[in-house]
Amino acid sequence: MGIPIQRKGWLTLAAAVGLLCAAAPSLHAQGGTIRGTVVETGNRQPLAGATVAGGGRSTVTDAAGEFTLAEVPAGRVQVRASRLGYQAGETSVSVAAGATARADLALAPAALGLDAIVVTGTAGVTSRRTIPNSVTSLDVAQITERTTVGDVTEILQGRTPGVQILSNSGTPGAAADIRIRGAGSLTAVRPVIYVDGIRYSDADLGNFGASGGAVTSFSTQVTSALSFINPEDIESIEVIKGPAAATLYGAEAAGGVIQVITKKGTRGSQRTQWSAKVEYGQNQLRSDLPDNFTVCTTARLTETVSATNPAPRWPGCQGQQAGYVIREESPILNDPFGVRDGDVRRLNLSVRGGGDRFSYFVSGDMDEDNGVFYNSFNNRRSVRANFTATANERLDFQFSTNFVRNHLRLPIGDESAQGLLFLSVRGRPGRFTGFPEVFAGYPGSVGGLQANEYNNQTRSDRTTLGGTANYRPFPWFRNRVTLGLDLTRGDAQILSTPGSTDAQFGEVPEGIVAIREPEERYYTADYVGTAELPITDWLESSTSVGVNYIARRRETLTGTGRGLGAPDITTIQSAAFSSSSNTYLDNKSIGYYIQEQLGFNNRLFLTGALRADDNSSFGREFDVIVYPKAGFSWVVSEEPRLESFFQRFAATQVKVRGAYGQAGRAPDPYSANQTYTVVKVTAPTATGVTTVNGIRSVGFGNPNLEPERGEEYELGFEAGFLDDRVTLDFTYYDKRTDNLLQNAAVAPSTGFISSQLTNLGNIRNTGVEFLLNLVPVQRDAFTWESRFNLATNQNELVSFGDEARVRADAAFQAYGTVQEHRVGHPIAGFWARLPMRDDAGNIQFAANNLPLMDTAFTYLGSPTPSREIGWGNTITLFRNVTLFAQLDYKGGFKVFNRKEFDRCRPAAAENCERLNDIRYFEPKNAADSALIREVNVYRGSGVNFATGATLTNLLFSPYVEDGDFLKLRDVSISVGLPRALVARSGASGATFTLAARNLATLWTRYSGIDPEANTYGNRSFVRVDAYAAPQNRRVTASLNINF
Amino acid sequence: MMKRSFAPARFGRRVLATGAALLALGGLGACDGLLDVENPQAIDPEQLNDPAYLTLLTFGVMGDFQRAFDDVAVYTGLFTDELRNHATFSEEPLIETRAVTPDNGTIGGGVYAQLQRARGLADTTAQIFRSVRGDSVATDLRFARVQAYSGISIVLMGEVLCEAPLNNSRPYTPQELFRDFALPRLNEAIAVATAARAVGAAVNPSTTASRALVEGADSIINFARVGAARAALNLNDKPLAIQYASPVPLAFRFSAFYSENSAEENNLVDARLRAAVNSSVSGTPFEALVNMDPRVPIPTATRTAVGSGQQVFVPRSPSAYSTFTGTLPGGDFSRASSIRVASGLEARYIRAEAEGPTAENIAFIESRRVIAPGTTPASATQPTTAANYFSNLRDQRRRDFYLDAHRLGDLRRYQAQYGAGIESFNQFQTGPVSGAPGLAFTEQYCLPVNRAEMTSNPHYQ
Repeated sequence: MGIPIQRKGWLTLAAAVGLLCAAAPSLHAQGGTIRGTVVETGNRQPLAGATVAGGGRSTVTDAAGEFTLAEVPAGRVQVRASRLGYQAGETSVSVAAGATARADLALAPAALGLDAIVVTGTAGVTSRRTIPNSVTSLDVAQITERTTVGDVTEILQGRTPGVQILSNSGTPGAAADIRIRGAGSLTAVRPVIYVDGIRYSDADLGNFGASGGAVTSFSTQVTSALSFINPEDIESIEVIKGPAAATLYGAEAAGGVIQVITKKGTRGSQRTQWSAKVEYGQNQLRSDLPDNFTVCTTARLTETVSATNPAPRWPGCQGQQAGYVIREESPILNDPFGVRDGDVRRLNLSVRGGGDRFSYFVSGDMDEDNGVFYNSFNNRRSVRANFTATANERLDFQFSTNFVRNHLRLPIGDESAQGLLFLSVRGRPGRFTGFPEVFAGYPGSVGGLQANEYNNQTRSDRTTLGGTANYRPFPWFRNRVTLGLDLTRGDAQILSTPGSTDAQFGEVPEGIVAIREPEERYYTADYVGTAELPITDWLESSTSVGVNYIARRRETLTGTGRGLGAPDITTIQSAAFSSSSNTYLDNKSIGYYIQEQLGFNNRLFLTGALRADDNSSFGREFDVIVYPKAGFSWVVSEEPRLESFFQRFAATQVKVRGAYGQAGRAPDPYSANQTYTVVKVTAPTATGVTTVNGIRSVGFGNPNLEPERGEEYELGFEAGFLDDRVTLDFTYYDKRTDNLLQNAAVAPSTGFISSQLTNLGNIRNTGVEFLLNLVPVQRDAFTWESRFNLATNQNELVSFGDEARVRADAAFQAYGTVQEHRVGHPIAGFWARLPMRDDAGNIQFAANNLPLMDTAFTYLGSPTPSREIGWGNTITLFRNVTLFAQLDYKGGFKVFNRKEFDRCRPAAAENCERLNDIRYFEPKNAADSALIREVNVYRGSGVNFATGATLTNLLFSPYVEDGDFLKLRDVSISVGLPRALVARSGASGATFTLAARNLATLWTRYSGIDPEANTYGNRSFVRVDAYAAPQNRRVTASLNINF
Repeated sequence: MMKRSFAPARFGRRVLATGAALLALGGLGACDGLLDVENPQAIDPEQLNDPAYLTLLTFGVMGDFQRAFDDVAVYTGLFTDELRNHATFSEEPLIETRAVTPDNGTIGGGVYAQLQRARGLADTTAQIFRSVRGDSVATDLRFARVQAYSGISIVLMGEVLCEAPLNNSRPYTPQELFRDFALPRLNEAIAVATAARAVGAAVNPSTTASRALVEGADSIINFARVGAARAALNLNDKPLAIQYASPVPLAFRFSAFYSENSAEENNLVDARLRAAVNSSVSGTPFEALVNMDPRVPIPTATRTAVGSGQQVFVPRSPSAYSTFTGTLPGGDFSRASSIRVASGLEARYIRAEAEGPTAENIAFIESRRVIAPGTTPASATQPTTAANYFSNLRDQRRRDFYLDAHRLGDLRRYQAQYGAGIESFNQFQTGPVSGAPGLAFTEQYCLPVNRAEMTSNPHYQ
C-alpha cells in the first residue's frame, strides 16, 4: 500500500519548505546589523508581521516583534516600521561595520489610517486618503490569532458594516449567503471575489443535494468554493460595497467586491520565520430542541399493533387515564446514533522569508471539521506558496499558487423526512415503532442508525495560479499585468445501496449510485497603467487606463445508475439502468476603463472614471455598456485654515468624501439567445422501444438583453480624535438598481414554455454604516480596545416593470404564499392572509368550521435584517493576556418557523409546542394570548390538511416570527507563554488561545431552534426554518508557536 | 543618491517595451473572437434549416407529444372522475374539485404548456420541412408524422381546454380548434402518408425499406384518421366521423412510448400510482369496479395514500397501457409503460356512437360488455339493446379508455351533445368530494389557459 494521499501532501509541503529554507540567504554580516523590536504603543505588546526597512534592507518582525536587518551599510540609517492598522514609525540609528545596533519602535494603532495602502476598487494601489468611497479593511491575521474561524464568511460576520452574512445551515460545508448593502438584484446578490487580483469562484461544489431521496430529490443547501481559502493564509480583506466604489470592476460588480490579500514574504535579508498553529476543539449542538408530545386518547389506551398482534400500539399510554399527555425530549438527544460532539482539528504550518531580490511565504493547512451528525464532515488540506522576485528597480514579479483538496460529506437533513432534525421534532413518544432497531421516540422506521446510512460525499481539488508583473519604466509611470487561473475539479458521489433506508425513501429500493464531476475554470487577464505627474506645486494628476478580461467555463458530467443488484456493487456500469448528462457554461467579458484623479495639495482629491464593458451574455442587439464614476475626498483637517478648528476638538484627521458610480450585473450565460436542444425520446422498434434523439425548444431568448445597472451615491466622513484613540467612519448610501434581470413569462402558444430573461423594474437600497473604534484605556498593564459597528438597510422593490409578466413566471415566488416580491416592500417580504375577526376580536368561521380568511394579504416583515450591530472588545492584560468578545446583533427581520407550523398543523398538532408547553399556556402578553387563541381555534377546527385545507385557509401568520437576536459570536482568551519557557524549545514566541464561536444566544424573539437557520440556502431570499441544522457552537483550544 | 543622466537609447527601449505591452493588452479588445463562447447543449434556430436536422425534429415532435400525453392522462383523470387526489401539494385538490385557475402551475405547466410546446414544435417543424424539402414534402412520411402529431395535439387541446390561442393569436374555441386547425393538419397527414405509401408500394420487388415505408404510412394514416374522427365526433359531424373511422382496422394501435432509460422518458403515471399513492379510485364512480373488470384492474387490497395516510383502492395498468395483463389483479405500471393514443377500438367506438344502435354496433357494444358482465352499475348487467345502447356504450367506453386522456373530452361531449339526461356516472361529479371533508366539486368543465399566456399574449391584454 502506498502512502496515503494526505500524507503525500504533507511530505510535498515539507520538501518545498525545506528547499526554500535552503535557498534562504545565510546571514553573514558583511556590513553592520540592526536588531530591534516593534511593539504597540501603550500596552507594549509585540507586533508580529510588521515590515521593517532601513539601509536598503527590509524584513518582517517575528511573533515576538523582533527583527534583524543584516548587511546594512555603515553609517546613520533611518529605520521605518509599518503594519496594517498602525501608524508607521521611524527612528534613526548609527551602524558600525561588523557591529550590531539596536532600534526599537513603537507603533500607534491607526484605525483611520488615511495613508494606508488600499488595492481594491482603484486603478492600482493608492492611499486611503484619495479614495472617495468607503472601503472596509480587515486585519485578518489579527482575527485568526484571536478567534476560531473556519472560512472567509466567518471572518466577515459581524465585523464589516454593510456586509450581511446570512447563515443557512450549521452543517459543516454548507455556505452562508453574502450580501452587501442589501439585495440589489432579483437573480443574484452575491459580491464578486478576488484573491490577490485573481477572480475567484464562489460557486457551489457540484455536490448532490442534502435532502435525501437519493438523487431525485430537491436540493436546498448550497456549498461554496469560497470556503476553500485557508483563513490562516489571509493577510487582509478589503470590501468595497456598491456601484459607487465598484465601477472599475464593471458589469459583474454591482453586488460589491471582496478582495482577499494573502500573506507574502518581505524582500530583504532576514532569517526564516516559521509558524505553527495547532487547534483542537469540538462542534456542539447546543440548541434548545423542542419536546414531543403524545395525547393518550381513549382509543390509544386499547389500540393494538395489528389485528394479529395484540401488543399495545401505545405502550406509553398503558395504565394512564384518557387525556394524559406524554412529554419526551427529542429522541436524538438520547439516541446513541443521534448527535455527537464533532471534533475540530486544525494544523497550520507556514514559513516566510526573503533575500535581496526575492521573498516567499509558504503554508500548509489541515482542517478537519466534523459536524454534530455522525455522517457529517468537511475536511480541507491546502498548500500555498507566494513568491516575489525583483529583477531590477523597475520590474518585479509576484507568483502565487494554491492547491486545495477538500472532502465534504453532507448528512441528510433539511426537509427530508429522514433528516434527524425533522424526525426529532416529529417524535411520537410512547408509541410502539415496530422496528426494533429504531430507537424509541422517533415517529417511524427511521432513527439515527438509519439516517446515518446516507452517503453523500464530494471531493474537490482546487488549483489557483496567479502572476503579477509590475513594471515602472519611469518613476511617474507604472504598469501592472496580472494573469490568473482558478481551476476547481469536483467528484461528487451519492450512493444508496439496495434496500437501504435512503434507497427506500427515494423510491429506488433497488439502489442507486450517482457521480457528478464538475469542473470550473476562471481565467483572469488584467492590465492597468498609471501615470502620476505633478502639474504644479499644488496639483497632481494621476491617470490610469486598464483592461480587464475574465473568462469562465464550467462543465459538469453526471452519471446515474439505478438498480445495483447487490449492496457491494457501486459502479454505474453494473446498474440495471444507467443514464448520464452533462451541462456546460461558457462566459467571457472584457472591460476597459480610464480614470483621472486630481490631487490638490495632497488634501483634496477629485476622481472621475469611465468603464465600458462587453460580455458574451449580452443580447446581440446590445453592444457595450458604459459606467461612469465620480467622487471627491477631502482631508479637511489638513486645510491650514481649518486646522485650528479641528484641533479644538482634538481631531487628528478628518476626511469627508462623496462618490457616485455605476456598476452592473451581467445576465446568465446564453439567456439572450433563442435555442433548441436535443433530448431523449422513446421510439418504437420492431421488437420494442429504443431511445433516440429529438429536438426540443429551450430558450426563448432576448436579443436586447443587457446587464443590470446599479447606481449609487454615498456620502461619509472618517475622523480620528485623541491621537486616533477614537475614530469614526460614517457612510450614507442610496443605491438603485435599474433594468433588473427578471424572468418574465413567455406565452406557451409560441411553442416555448421557458421564461424570458428581461430587463424590467428597479430596486432601491438605502442605509447608513457606522464604525467606531475606541481605545478607552491604554496602559502598560491594561488596554481596552473596542470596535463598534452599526449598519442599517432599507430594501424596497420600487417597480416590477411589467408586473403581470413577471408574476406569471412559474419561478416567481420566493417561497410559496409566505414570501413574495411586492412593489413598495422589501424583496421576498413575508405576507399572509389573516383570519377575519368580529368587533370583539374573535376569529370568524365558515360553515365548514374553517376560519374565514381575509382576501387581502398583510405585510408581516422583511426576511433580511434591516439593522445590524457588531461590537468587539479586546482587553489586554500585562501585555500577555488578551481577552476578546464579539457580540452580533441582527434585527428587523422575520423567519418563517416552518417546523412549528408543521407541528401545529391539525394532522400533527399533538407536537405543537404552543399547545403543550406551559410557557405558551401562560401567555406573557396580549400578543401571546392572541396567538394561542388562534392556534387553538385552528386545531379545534379539525381540518385534515391533506384534504380539507388549502393554502387559502391555513394560518401562517403566527409562525412568521421576529428573528431578532443577540449572539455572543466569538469569545476568546489568549495567553502568551513565558519567553523563558518558549526559548527552551527554540521558539521565539508561543500563544495559547481558548476560543468559542456561537457560544450563546443572549437574546432573541424567535421561538424556534435558531433564527439563523434557513433550510433554503440555495434560494437567495428565502428565510425558512424548516429543520435546517442550527449554527454549531464551536469550542477550541489552540497553540501558536513561532520560530 | 547619484543622479542618473538621461540616456536616449534606454529611454527609447522603455517606451517601446511599454508601448508593446499596451498594444498587446489593448489588442485584446480588438479581437472580437475573445467573447466567442461555446454552447454544446444548444442549437440556434437557423441551424435547424439544415436537412440533417429533419429526422431529429420529427423525433422531437414525437417526444414533446409523449412528454405531454402522460401529464394529460393523469391530470385530466384527476379533473374528471377517473382519479381521486391524495397528493398534498396545494394545487392538486383544486384540480380534483375542478377549481383550476390560470395560476395553477400543475395544469398550466403540465398540461397547457406541454401541449402547446408539442404543437408549437410540430408547426415549426412543418414549416422547416416545407422550406427545406420543397415539393418533396408531399411524399415525406416524416412530414406526415409531424402533421399527425400536430393534429392530435390540437384535438387534445380542444377536448381539455376551454379555449386556446396558437402562436400568440386570439384564443380559439374548441370547435375552431377541431375544425380549422386539427382537421387540416390531419387531412394533410393522411394525404402525404398515402402518397408516401404509394411510393413504397411501387417498389418492385419490395425491399425491407419499402415495406417499412408502407407499414409506417399505414400507421400514420390510421393514426390521423382516428384523430380526425375524434375531432369530427366532437364537432358533432357524425357522417364525417364515420368516414374517417370506418377504414381503420380494429387491430390498429398507436401509442405514446416511455422508457426506464432516463427520467425524461419515464411514464408519469407510474410515479403517481405505483411508486407512491398520490391518487386512487376511492370515492369515485370507478370504485365500483374494484376486482370486477380486468380492463380497469383494481385490487381489493388497499394501499396507503400519501398525505392523508388513508387506505385506498389504487388501479393498476388498464387496457390502454402496455403493462396491461387482462387479468383482474392486473399488472403494475412501470416507468416504461406505453399508453395507447389511438386505436382501431376507438375508431370502432366512434363509429358506434356516430351510427347509433345498428345490429352490428349493438353486437360490438355487447362484446365489450361481456368482458365484465357482473359489474355495477346495474346497466352493465343488462345485455345491450337498442334501448340501453348509448348507456352501455358510454359505460363500456369509460372502461376501455380508462386513464388514457379520453375521459374529459367524453364528458364534455356528453354534456354538449346528450344533455343532462344521461347516467350520473357519465356526468361531471357534483357535491362534496367523497372522503375529503370540506372539499366540493365546482362547475368548471374545462381547463383554462395559463397565466403566462394571459399576460404575454397581446390578445389577452
